[in-house]
Parts: sequence; C-alpha cells; structure tokens
Amino acid sequence: MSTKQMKITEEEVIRRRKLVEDAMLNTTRNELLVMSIPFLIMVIGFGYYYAYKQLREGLIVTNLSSKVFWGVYISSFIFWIGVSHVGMLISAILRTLDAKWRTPITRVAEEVTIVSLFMGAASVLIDMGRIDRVLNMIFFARIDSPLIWDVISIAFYLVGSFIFFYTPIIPDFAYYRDNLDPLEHKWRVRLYTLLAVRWRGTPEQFEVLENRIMSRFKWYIIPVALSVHTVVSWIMAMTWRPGWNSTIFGPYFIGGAIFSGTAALLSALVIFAKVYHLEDFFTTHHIKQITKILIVTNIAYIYLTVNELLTPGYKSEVYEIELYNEIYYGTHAYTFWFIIIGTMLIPMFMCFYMLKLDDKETKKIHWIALVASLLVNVGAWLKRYIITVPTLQVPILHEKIVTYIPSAAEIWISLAQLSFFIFFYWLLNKIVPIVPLWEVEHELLKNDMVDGTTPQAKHEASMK
Amino acid sequence: MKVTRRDFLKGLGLVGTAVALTDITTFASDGNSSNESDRPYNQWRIDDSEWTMVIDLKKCDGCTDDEVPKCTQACIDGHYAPDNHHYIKVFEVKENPLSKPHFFPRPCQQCINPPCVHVCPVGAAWQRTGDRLSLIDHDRCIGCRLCLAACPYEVRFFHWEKNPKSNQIPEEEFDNQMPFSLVKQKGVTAKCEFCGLQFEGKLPHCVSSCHNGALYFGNIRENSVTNSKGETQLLDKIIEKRAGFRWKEEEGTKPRVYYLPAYEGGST
Repeated sequence: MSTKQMKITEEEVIRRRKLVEDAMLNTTRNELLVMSIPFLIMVIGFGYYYAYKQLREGLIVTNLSSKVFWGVYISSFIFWIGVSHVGMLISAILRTLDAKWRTPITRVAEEVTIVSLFMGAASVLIDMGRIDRVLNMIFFARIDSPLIWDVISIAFYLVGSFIFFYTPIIPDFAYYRDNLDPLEHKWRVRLYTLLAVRWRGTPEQFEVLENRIMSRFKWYIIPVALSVHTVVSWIMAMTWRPGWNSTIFGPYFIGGAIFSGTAALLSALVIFAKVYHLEDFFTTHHIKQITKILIVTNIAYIYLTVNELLTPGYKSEVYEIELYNEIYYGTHAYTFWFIIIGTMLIPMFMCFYMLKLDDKETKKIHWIALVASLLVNVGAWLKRYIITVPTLQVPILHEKIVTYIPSAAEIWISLAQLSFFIFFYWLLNKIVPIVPLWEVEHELLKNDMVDGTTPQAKHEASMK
Repeated sequence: MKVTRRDFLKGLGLVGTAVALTDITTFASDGNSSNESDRPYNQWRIDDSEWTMVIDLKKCDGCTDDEVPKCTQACIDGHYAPDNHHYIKVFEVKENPLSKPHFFPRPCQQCINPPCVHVCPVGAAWQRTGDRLSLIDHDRCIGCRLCLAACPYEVRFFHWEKNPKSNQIPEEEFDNQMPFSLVKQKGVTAKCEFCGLQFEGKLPHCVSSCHNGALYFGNIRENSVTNSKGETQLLDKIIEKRAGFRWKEEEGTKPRVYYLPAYEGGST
C-alpha cells in the first residue's frame, strides 16, 4: 500500500478484528446469504437424487455415447482443477515476488484452492463407470497411464495446498482457543484447542512456521501446481484426437487455469467484502491488484488460444478442419464466439475501465469486478466444454458428426457441485477466520503502522 | 536413546517414501503384466499362435440389403452384445472425388503396439502373453474411458447400463468362446477380442457369416488365412499380390488386421 498512509489506532485494529469475528461467530443477517442457503440445499438435493440414480442405473442417465464419451463431467473436472490454481498463484508466486499487499487475501485464495480441488476430484469420480473399483487405481496402478500421473500430482497438490492452508491458521486458532468465552462457545473452544496443536507463539514456532514451512514450501508448491494442470491436459494431449493432439496443451491449460482461478478469487473477494463488510481488509486496492493479474492472464490466455487455434487451422488437415468448422461456424459457434467476445475481450475492457476509476468509487469497482470475474468463470467452464466435446463429435473415421446434448442428470449434478462449492465455502468460513489476522497484525506492528499494540501481540505476550 | 515424536514421524515418512518408490519401480519395470496372476481366465487356452484377419475390400458388398451387415449381426448375436455395439462395423468410403465408393469393415485391429493398453490406468486393457491378443479384464475396468480416447480406430464401446442381454448368456458360452468377449456388467468397456472361437477350431462369428467370403482369419505363425467358403490363402502371398495394407500405418500401432484394396491399381 502507499507509503504515506497514516498510523491507525489500537481501537481501529480491534474494530477490524471484530469484523472478521462477526463473520465467523455470528449467524449472518444478510438477506442475500440467508435466502441463498435453502436454494443451494435444494440444488444439492436434486444433484444427490440424480447421482443416486446414476449409481443405480449406470451412466445411461447421461447422454454420453461410445462416440462422445466425455462430456459435462470432464469439462467440470478440468474447470475445478483449473480454479484451484489460484492458491498456488497467491500463496506461492506472490510470496516469492514478495508482494506485501497479498497478506489479507491469502486465506480466501487457499480456501478456493482446497474446496475446488475436492470438487475436481469429485468430478472424475462421478464420471467413472465403476466407482466401486476406485481403489484399483492404487492396487493395479500402471505408471505408464496419464491418469495415474494425474492421481499422483493431484494428491501431492492436495497435500501441499492443505499444508499451505492449515499451518498459517494455527496462530489464529490459538488466539480463539484462548480468547473465546468457553461457556458461550463450548464446541468452538474444543475444536480450536484441537486444531491449534498446542501453539504457544514462541519465536521458534514462528521461525518454523514462517521461514521453514511457508518460505521453503513455496518452492515445492509451484512446480507441483504446474504439474497438476499440465498432466490434466496430457490426458487429452496423449491421444491422436484432432484438437487434442497438440503440443501446447500443457501451457494452454495452465494459462486457462490461472485465468479462471484469479477470476474466482476476485468474485470471492467482492462477495466477502460486501456480505461481511470486510472492505477494510479486501480494499479496492486489493481488487485492483487482482484485476491487474486478471488482465495479464487474460492476455496470456488470448495469446495461447490464438496459438492453439491458428496453427492446426492454417494447415487444415482433414479432421482438424472439420473440427474447427464445427467450432467456428457449426453448432458450437454461438458458444465459441460468446467465449471469445463475451468472456475474454469484454471483461478485459471492463477491467481496464475499472483500473482507471478512483479507489473511492467502491460500489462501481465492486460491480465491475464481480460482473467481469463471473463472466470469465462462465467462459472458463464453457471453454473446457468446447475443448472436450467437439473433438469427440467430429468423426475420425468415415462417419457423420455425432450430436450430444447434456442430460438433466449431468446438468443437475454439475449445478449441485457448484452449489456444494459455495455451501462448503460458507461453512468453512464459519470455522476459519477469513483473514489471516495474526499475519496482518504482525505486519502492522512491523511496519510501525499502529499507535499502540494489537490483540495478537497481547495474546502472544499472555502465552509466555 | 529417546525417540522424539519428530524423529518417529521422520522415520515413518522415510519408510512410506521407500514403500511408494518400490511400488512405482515395480510398476514401471513391467507395466503390461503387473499382477497377471490375479486375472480371471489367466491361462485360458493360451498358445503361441498369433491371430490375424485379412479383409478383402473387393469382396465386401456392405450387405446393403440387410439393415445391419451380416458380420455385425452375427457378432452381436454371438457375443450377446447390446444392439448398438458394432464391434465389427462396415463403413462406406469414398476416398477422393474420382474414386468409386466401397465398403470398409472395421474389427479391432489387434495392434501389436496397442494405445489402449498403454493408457489404461489399471491394466484392465491388457495384451496377454503368448498370442498377444489385446483383451479387456471386465472385472478390473474402472470405466474411465481413456482407452476410448486413445484408440485411433474407435473400436471400443462402453456399457452405459447393465447389458440388457446379460440374462440370455448361457453359462457354457464362457467355455466355448473367449470369456473376455461376454460382458454382463455395467460401467465397463468392451470391444472385439478376436472372438475366441478359433480355440474351438472354428472361424469367428463375423468371418463365418460373410456370404462373400470377404473376411479371412488365420494364424500369422502358420502363414495361412481362411474365409467362410473354406478358401485358404498364404498370408504373405496374398498381401504381396494384392498390395495389402494396414490401416493408419502412420500411427505406429502395428495392426494385425490387413486390408486388400477394393480396386486394382498401379502398373498391373
């Protein structure tokens, strides 16, 4: 943030902490949130009904066929795994670049990562014909298969992300273990006692947390995260299918992943800032910074898309040109051009316009960020669909184009996943403080920006 | 010596890593035949034959009078396959604007270098030792459909529901023909597995049902192929004489199905 910022008072620090506590401890009175919960539960219920039906009757409840054998579920799989890359971006890359402003938003990003990784893993499980044999992937694993590479790298990323998510919450858990009223918050205090793993806040413990885990581990998480979406793309790129038989698929997927992940983070920040009144943590400055990343990744993704589409299209091999005709002018034309214009170009111009606005125009900035980032996310899902489905629809033998329209089961199960993502995210934020308070307050003290002391400092002193 | 919790966890981590690495090296060293002994029908009539099919496109008339070509129908009936599982499918092909259209039957190409086997995460798509047939272990398949994506010939099908004909399969069929080619379950892949009737001394369903004798079946090691009319040809001679080819040679899959062109060409 700007250097000329004035010192804030101790009361102000306490007031800000109270905002986060309110979001976590109190049942919200926000109408939007209260009304959305039954709606989410209803959608999840429909999803469960269809998932049960699918489990009983088999994948026949989908409209997949032996030609178009991957559809909505695999598109969702790529989408969720892609969104999960934002955690790596914010926690590891920005940490490496020593971007100080990132501190308050790291936890939101890590939560997006964890929850969407689970959704991604769920998508493949739903798509499996024999979910009862999922352990065969371990008992009979063949390292030659791209799917096993996927299992390995997603497992590593899940563990790594969990460490990145959990360890920095420990000091916050310890704070609430000691500062909540044990009578009023009985189960919370018990839970936090368990989760705080006897944290005492000694300099050695902070040394381990900050230097040994967070600073060194980022070098682990960056390559692992990059491997995840690369390997996901290889599931497709390791085949001869037109459109998938491409050398750029690794970077292409990574680019798309970081693009959509950044957009998901931006939506989350705006929604949290509005619903929980956390504008003091998720300031317009933060939103603008993330918007800048969104613009950069947007441009990178346009570049990659041009690379991906132009090189085979120019050569016009028989199968490839059939595919591209189908995408540019055929049944997928509306979707495709909506993705290019509506979810890549228009959001980019919206973002450019928003960056020019004054920081004080909060409402306008919030709305533009929300609409732009939601558009990007819708486009990201549709793009995964355009990557997955048309390739399977165009014939590679002497046949006609096969039609595929997702069935009710596929649509409801996917919507239920989205609802479950949002629902799980709300639940998580009822247990975990949305902002890494100890880190924020440490930085305030370190940069001598507080007039007095902070609750965190008092708490550390009390534990000695 | 006092063992701290940290030391204990470190040791546990080391042991875990070692176990994981051993496992990985085991898989990597012998990818195709991992846990071969766990398979049902592991040693089912295995010998050192190498089965092949020769398809004479000149003789194939596409059975245009029938709704489904005779070879396809015989295959579906013989294997109790769902009606839309055309393990052998007949396409109509027009290669360029000036050439005459002709018919093109497609069974599993029984590749020597099969992509489906390479991509299978659990070794359910496997190539057995001995006759090196590409088979599917339906009791191991997890239904991920990666093999459908990998096959350049699109010979693989998926059982989206429980096989509607599963009740019709008589138990003795499992002994008479390749047990791998009879599927009851849902959520697994299926394909042409070269029938298995050859082990009974019979021709596969598709070959014996062809009224023109366009399909030949035989053993590469014996260098002979036979069709439904009982005509036996020398494999190398017929390929040489008719300029036989393998489909999509450029993919490097090394199919074991040979095609004889529909029209004579070249300098003859």
